[in-house]
Amino acid sequence: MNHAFTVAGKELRSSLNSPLAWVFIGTFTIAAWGIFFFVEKFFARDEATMRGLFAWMPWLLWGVGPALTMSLWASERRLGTWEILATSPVSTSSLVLGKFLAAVALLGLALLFTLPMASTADAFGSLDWGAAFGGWIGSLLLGAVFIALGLLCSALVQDELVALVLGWSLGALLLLPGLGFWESLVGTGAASALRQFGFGARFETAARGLIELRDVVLWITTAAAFLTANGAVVASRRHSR
Amino acid sequence: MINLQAEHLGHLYGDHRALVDVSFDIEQGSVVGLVGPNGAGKSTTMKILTGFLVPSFGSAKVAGIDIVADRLAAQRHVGYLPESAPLYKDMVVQEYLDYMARLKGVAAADRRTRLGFVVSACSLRDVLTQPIHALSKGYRQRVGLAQAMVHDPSILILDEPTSGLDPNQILEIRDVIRDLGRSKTVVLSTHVLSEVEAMCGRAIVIVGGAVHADVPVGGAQGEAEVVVLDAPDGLGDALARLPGVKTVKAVRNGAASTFRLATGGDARAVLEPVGRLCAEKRCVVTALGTAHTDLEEIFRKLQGARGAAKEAVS
Repeated sequence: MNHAFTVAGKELRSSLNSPLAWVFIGTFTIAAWGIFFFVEKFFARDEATMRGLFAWMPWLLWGVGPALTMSLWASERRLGTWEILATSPVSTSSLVLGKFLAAVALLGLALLFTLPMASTADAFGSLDWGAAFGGWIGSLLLGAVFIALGLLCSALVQDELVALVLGWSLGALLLLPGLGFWESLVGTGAASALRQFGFGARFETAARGLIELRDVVLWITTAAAFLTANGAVVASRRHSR
Repeated sequence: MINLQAEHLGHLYGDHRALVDVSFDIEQGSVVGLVGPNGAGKSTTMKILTGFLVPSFGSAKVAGIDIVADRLAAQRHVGYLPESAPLYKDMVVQEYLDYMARLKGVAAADRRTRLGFVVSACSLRDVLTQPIHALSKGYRQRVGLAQAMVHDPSILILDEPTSGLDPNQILEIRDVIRDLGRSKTVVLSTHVLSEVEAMCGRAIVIVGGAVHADVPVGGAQGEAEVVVLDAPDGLGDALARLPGVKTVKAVRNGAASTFRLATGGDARAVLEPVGRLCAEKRCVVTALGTAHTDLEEIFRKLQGARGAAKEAVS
């Protein structure tokens, strides 16, 4: 466990020293502010709420998750540093957990840059801070799911860009069941059943600031499943080239 | 004390049999060279000994611990420098070594001492605050060696530690490795013969994934050799009287006489007295060194066999 924090600290420092991580965090922040003010037209709504941001949050997280994780495993293998890591007396789970925590911390930082939106909203009316914080907590948890998925993709391939595209593709599958177009395809009943499986559609509760236990369980178990798979993929490398 | 043990190691990469049957025991406090042509299985053997690869067949023990059954415990005793020293290029040397020390479980109280030790052993003082990507190949190799040693392992496994270095850097690395070999078990791989003779007391020749020969090398074999032009009478007897020399054999070939001195111990110890003696006798010495015909012979035969195989194909 100590090792997980050692690994997380190193990965976090390396990321903060690399321009690429800042590009992703910057893009996330700009997209978040753009959506809040221009797409969701905060000023035109005349309502002090963060819902405009959180409605789009699943897609923002879908975009940034694999970006923050794409190089975490892929570069280790491409540069050969994995060989030193794998021959150090560190358990595979500590390595996986360390890299995961580093990416979650980066996401936390990115979310931090959206906090001033709440102050802006509060300045124009009285904001329901509880609901806003619920939204942020939900964002961090759903983000952890995309990060765990992106990390798994990074472990599967040696090329960062392939890991990114793979992460986006598989991540889209998580959002797919909850998308609106199903209604016209399979009818209202089936579509609402499908929505139960859509990570984006299910996020609507959290976007309103309501964190339900079953959602938390879903996010945590899904992320844990991806991390477990990640550990298995990494461990299996010891059996071949 | 046996510190490293390989028993019938075999490894498959898909259908390709990279390792067929490799067995050896290595004692603590020795430097052993794994030699052989490229693709013979040297790196694969090392990857198994360090716990990087699980062997398809056989088993390996480091410091008495099975590397597969108890990987983490075994790895605490092993330091590994992979081929071409892959490092995190964006990190500063000091930061990197500190990270590796933490990762390898060096206790906080010992960390400063251990870091200080590896930094001076590998002469890294001048580059501590530099990012790794700015370092020369020689320095990178030394940083790689430093990380391998940082947790004070009793076994060091070094894959081609001198490849890609310039002659000066090679000499420096050799000194470090020889020093380490006094107390630790060092296994290094190379395909350069002179490398083995310069550093190792024993060579394990791997060909086609199996141990082809396992021989003592250089001084450890106990013979020194000096070649002298127009040797004066009595030089052989004088050589035989030197302390440490047991018998002397002389072979004359034109003006050059080759004296072969058996010492029964480390032949490197007699080189200096032999040189002095020849100087006193005002002889022209054209060669002086430890005898190493076993390994050379093996290599010559291997080369011959490969040449013959090539001819047979064409």
